[in-house]
Parts: sequence; structure tokens; C-alpha cells
Amino acid sequence: MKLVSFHLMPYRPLDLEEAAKHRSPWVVLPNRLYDPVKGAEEYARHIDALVYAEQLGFDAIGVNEHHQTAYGLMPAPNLIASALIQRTSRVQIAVLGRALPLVNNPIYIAEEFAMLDVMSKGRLIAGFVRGIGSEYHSSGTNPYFSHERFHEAHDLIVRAWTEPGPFAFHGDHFSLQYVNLWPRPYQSPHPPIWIPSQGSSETVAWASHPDRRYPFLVTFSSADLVARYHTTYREQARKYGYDAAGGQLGWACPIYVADTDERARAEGGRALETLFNDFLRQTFEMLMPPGYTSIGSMKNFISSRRALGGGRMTADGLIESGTALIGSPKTVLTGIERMREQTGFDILVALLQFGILSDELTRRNMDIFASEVMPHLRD
Amino acid sequence: MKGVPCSDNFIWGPEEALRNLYYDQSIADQILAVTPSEAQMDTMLKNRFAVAKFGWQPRWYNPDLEKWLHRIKLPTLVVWGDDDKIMPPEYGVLWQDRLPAARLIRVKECGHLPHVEHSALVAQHVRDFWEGVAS
Repeated sequence: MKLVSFHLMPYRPLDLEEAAKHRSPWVVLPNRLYDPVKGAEEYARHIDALVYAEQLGFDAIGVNEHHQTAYGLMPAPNLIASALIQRTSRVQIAVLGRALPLVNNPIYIAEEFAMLDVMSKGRLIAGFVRGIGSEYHSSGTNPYFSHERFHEAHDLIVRAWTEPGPFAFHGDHFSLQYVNLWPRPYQSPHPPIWIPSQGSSETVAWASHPDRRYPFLVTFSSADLVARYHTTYREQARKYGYDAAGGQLGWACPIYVADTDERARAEGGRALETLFNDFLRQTFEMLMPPGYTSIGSMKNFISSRRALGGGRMTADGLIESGTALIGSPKTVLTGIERMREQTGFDILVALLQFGILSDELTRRNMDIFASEVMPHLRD
Repeated sequence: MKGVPCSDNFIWGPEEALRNLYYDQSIADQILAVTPSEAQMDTMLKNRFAVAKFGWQPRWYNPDLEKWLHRIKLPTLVVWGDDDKIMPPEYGVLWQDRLPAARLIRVKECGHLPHVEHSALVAQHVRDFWEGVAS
């Protein structure tokens, strides 16, 4: 199994009580609540933790992109990736991912990824995402064209990486007289492309297409939903006439391990609750701007939300539903193995720091995961 | 209109968006008391998608169009709610300034929908305007 240590880089010093007075910690949370001095310390500690993951034997370390939010402080994840390249020598660097529709010239993304790939001598994993709904509020990008822009930017980037330049590109959203990358990517034909998603059937069908066969990472979902998306991917692949490999299926999951279940819940439970209740808190209008999904998907989302109801999520509930793996090494391992038996997934993106989880507990979590869980996941 | 931001009704929740349409909140109360049918919900969703397609960015205005306003030479009546929370009354003033034959009526104690909130008054203005143009 491929193991990725992944960070969102939340702003942990956030005054949660003050933040709760605002519509959301995304888009509209006044940035006076951000202290750059504390922020500097945050970057340093989060980067240290990712670098430490190489030492512990992870295959890859991962970062991602979010804008104008206390939830994650990496509006430009490639800057962090660049720093990580300088401090590591073996691990792959996974940027999970860049939000393609948000830029007006996707060539810049192709160029930056090519730079990172060359600088790291072929250690880059390139994630492509659409960005979550709130990003369309903060960037001004029109959500109505989100899917179109994603697909067109993807095509442009892959062509820029693989076709001899210069060539001209004429799309509906992006038009360039000269596409001619300097540098070209280090890996041939290009860095692996991964698709993190909260799981829409449109994305599954697109990622699993035989021309692409991109690994599909399901994020922040209950174990049932993760299994369902993995199964959908496998079924879709079969319809296309091939069997999906385990390496095409990924699960991104908050994980906290301690010697006993009780201790793990006591140490990790509160931080887990802050991730889901405080840092992820967004209104329907922010999550689902019009056009971000089809009308049909949006109606499904509305009715499933009505069924779920509102209210704060509890650590117990999140653990029961398998949205997070928190417990003893045996408990965590069982959760992973159970999913593996169900879906055969082979990429685990472990979120070992989440919410307000401190550096000390993060470090302890990583150590126990590496010594007690990781060896059992090596085939 | 550059420099005069419209409100962001895309980020408002349904009740907030409805309330912000009206100065007189009793109208909003009446509408909120009725649960829309499935078909009405579908229409509302479709409208929302269409409106986003054209109005998301730049929010609620097309910077290329202002320069053509002077071409509207016909007599024009512009009616604007003084308490419009969607598009501020400055827009009405701009239309009056740019259209060669426009007259602006600002309706007091009125939100985004003067024809709903002050229908009799607006009807009277339209009638007067119509008669003025016809004579």
C-alpha cells in the first residue's frame, strides 16, 4: 500500500469563539484574526512534520490548495512543495491538488509543476481539482463554467507536458498562440496525475476513462461512502473494459493512533471535532454555488443534507461512521483492512495532523502510526 | 457600475435573500409562510443557475455595456427603490445621467422590487410616463 502523509495546514491559533460569530471560516472570516507572527511558526512546524514523515518511511508527503480560509494556509501549495523538495531526498511530493478552473492561464500550473518535477528529479505527484464551492466565491471564478474550465485546463496542461512545442491551443476558455514549456517535466511522459474528490459520479467517470486511469482519492467521507465511490470507480472501469488496479483507488482520512482506544479518543477527539465543526463549517450557498454541480447532483445534495440534519458533529459519531480512524493500532489497522477487503484500495492518504491537534500530539501520532500500523500495510 | 459594489446575494441563505429583496418585511413573511412545490423549487434552481452564468463575474454588471447607454435615445422611465439592497440606487442615478432622455423616480421605503412593493405608485408613474410620451 502506498502511504501519503498529508497536511491541510490549518491556522491552529484561530480564536474559535470569535470565528464562530461569522458566517464561516471561509471567504468572509476577517483576516485581522490572522497573526503573521504566529503564522510563521505554524508554517515552520507544519513543514517540519511533513519532512519528518520521510524519515518515518512514508512514500509521499502531501499538501493542497485552499483560498481565503483559516482551514488551510496554502493558497499556493507549490511554494510549500518547493520548500519540501529542498528538505527531502526520497519521498514523492504530492500536491493534491491545484485548482485548475480558478486560473486564467493554466500554463502557469503546467510550468510550476514541471519546475517542481525537475527540481525534485521526478518526485512530483500532480493533483488536479476543481476547488471547493467556497473557492468560487473567493476567486470570483464563475462556477457555471467550473467543469468546462477544469477539463479544458487539464487537456491543455497534459498537451503542454507531452507534445513538442511550440504549438497553438484554442479552447473555449483558454487560447494561447504559443505553448512551449521550459522546463518540460522530468518524468516521462509526465508526473502522475491524481484526482482528489468528494466523489461526484461525473468525476469518477472522467478519471477512470481508459485514456486517463487517474487515481481517485475520496476525501472526508464516511466509510460507507468511500466504499461506494471506490466500487463505482471499479464498475465504471469494467464498463470501459478493464479492471481498475488498487493503485487507482485512494482514501484520504484523518487518523489518530495511541496505545488504547480511550487514549486516542481523549487526545484526538477534540481536534477532530474542530476540523469538522469549526474549520470546515460552510453554508450550503458557499459549498454549492450554482453550476458547480449539475442541477441533479445539487438536488441530491439538498435532500441528503435535509436527511442528515444540522448540528455539531461529535468525535464518536465521526469515528462510528468511519469518517476518521481514531483508536489503538489494532482499531486503526482494522478500519484500513476492512476497507481494503471491500474495495482493494491501495493509496492511503493519512491526515495525521488535523484541526487544532498540537505539534506534540501530531509527532506522537506519526511515531505510533509508523511503528505500529505502517509495517502491517507493507505488502 | 465600477466602485459601487452590488450585494452578494449568491452567498445569502434563502431566507436572507428573500428578506433582502423587500423593505417591507411583512411581504417576505407572507412568502416565507408558503412552502414552494417541487416544480417551483426546480424553477428557482434553474433561475439561479442562469443568473450565475451571466451575473457571477463581474458581479451583476458588464463593464463593456456602460459605454453604450448613451445610444438609448428613446424617452425612458427609470424606477428605483431607495432601499434596494441588491443594486444600490446609485445605479439608477447612473442610468439617468447616461441616457439622454431618462427620468429617474426613486421610490421611498422600497427594496429591489418597486412594482411589487409599491405597485399602485409605480403603475401611476408608468401611466403618467406613457401619456406624456403619447401626447
